[in-house]
Amino acid sequence: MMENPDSAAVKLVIAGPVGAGKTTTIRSLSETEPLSTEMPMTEAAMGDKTTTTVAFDFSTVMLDEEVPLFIYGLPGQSRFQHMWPIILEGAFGVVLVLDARDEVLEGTCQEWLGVLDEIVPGLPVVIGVTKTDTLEAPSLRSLRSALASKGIVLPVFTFDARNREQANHVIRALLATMA
Amino acid sequence: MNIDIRVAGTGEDLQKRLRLASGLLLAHKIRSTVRDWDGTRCDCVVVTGDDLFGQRVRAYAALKQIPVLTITRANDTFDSATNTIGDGAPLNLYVRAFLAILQAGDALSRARAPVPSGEDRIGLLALSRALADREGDLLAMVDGIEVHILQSSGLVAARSQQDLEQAKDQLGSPGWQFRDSDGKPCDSCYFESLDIFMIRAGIRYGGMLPAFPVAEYRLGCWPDLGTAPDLVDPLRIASLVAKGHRSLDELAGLTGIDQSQVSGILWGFRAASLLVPEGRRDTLAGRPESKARMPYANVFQKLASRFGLFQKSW
Repeated sequence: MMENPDSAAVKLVIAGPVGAGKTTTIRSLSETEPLSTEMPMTEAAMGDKTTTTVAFDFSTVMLDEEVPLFIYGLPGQSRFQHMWPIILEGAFGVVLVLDARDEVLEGTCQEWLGVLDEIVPGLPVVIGVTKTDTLEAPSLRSLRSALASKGIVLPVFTFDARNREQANHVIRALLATMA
Repeated sequence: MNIDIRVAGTGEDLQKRLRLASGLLLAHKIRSTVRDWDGTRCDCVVVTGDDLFGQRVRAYAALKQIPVLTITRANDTFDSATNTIGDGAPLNLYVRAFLAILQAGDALSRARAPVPSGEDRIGLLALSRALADREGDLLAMVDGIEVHILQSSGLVAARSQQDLEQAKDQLGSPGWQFRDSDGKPCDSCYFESLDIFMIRAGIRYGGMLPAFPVAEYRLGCWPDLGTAPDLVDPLRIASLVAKGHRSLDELAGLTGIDQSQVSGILWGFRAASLLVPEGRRDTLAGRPESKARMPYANVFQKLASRFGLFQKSW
């Protein structure tokens, strides 16, 4: 890594399908209330979810007095896909947030990983799976096995997106892959 | 061989002396740990003769036929007839006392006896071996406690949280038995993450375990530590093993973590089936060259500092 002579901003992206917990994750990571573009859902509400992000979430965490970390939430709706390369450009890594209740979790995961890799090949990714407390006996083994069988070995964490410490730990895992 | 020594009713200074003396047992090829008495079986319990708690523990240990070394203020010698030793006795007398008591209690000869199918190994090693031989779920039993090791779902389950905590206490002891499980634990079981369960056990009992043969393995899966934000060092170890670092010296040197703890973490990884034998080519396919903009070194340091990547786990 080069030495940075200037205080350049640093960018992290939180990606994942609608309702997985991206906005909640950003809120947990942020020191201030994130800038959100939430609107009431026009379609039927998804359980407790009655709003949806219509553009992207944005928040800032100061790494020190000079250097901000910009956290962007990648909008999950397919109609915003044209924004994804713009938002991903310059990011040092991605947290892919997935919902444990997704009946096709492995397929969703592989699809997202494929898209991210297409836009920025080799971008460091860590997977955070939320809402495992809603399942009787949550398991990520099949997800990890499916990824490993394709030679994809990256951190897959269950975490509570509302929990700041756990959200921070997911970021730590991302950084650990780069250390 | 590993000997489990517990202490009850002793002060800090005395505990330090006992730890030093137990360390000297290495000269006799005996590894030992010294921990607080918790009522469970061990190879020897050390009590203070004039302490009420120590006296109760001595009486209880006698019922359970656990060898006892009693510390008195009387003199600085060791009396093998009564298994008492003066609190001012030199360290070599403590060593002699331990050897005599362990010999009389048959702990040494049991430890030297041939080990049939892993039954007499300490729990975590035996469990690791049993899981390596199976792909399915396992029922592990010790001291009347049953723990379901659900490899298929990455969980451990027991009838209650108390049972699971007691099982954790026994992972440093022998006496575990295993059989295949039908994967159906009790109706209202208490569940925990398999990865976290095993890694915490590896950390706890690292000092009792043999050095992990890290060169023989590579990382098959990262551990799921999402609900254990205090476990930072296992993340760092996983990262280095994933990058191909293959010796305990190297891992300890790069992380600043004690080598026995590094080894313990890796035993935990092994028990959680996170490692695969070196030479298997079905994992870790090469990733395309990254076009991501990696942060500058000083920025990475700031990120690591802000998110606590280099903080001590425990």
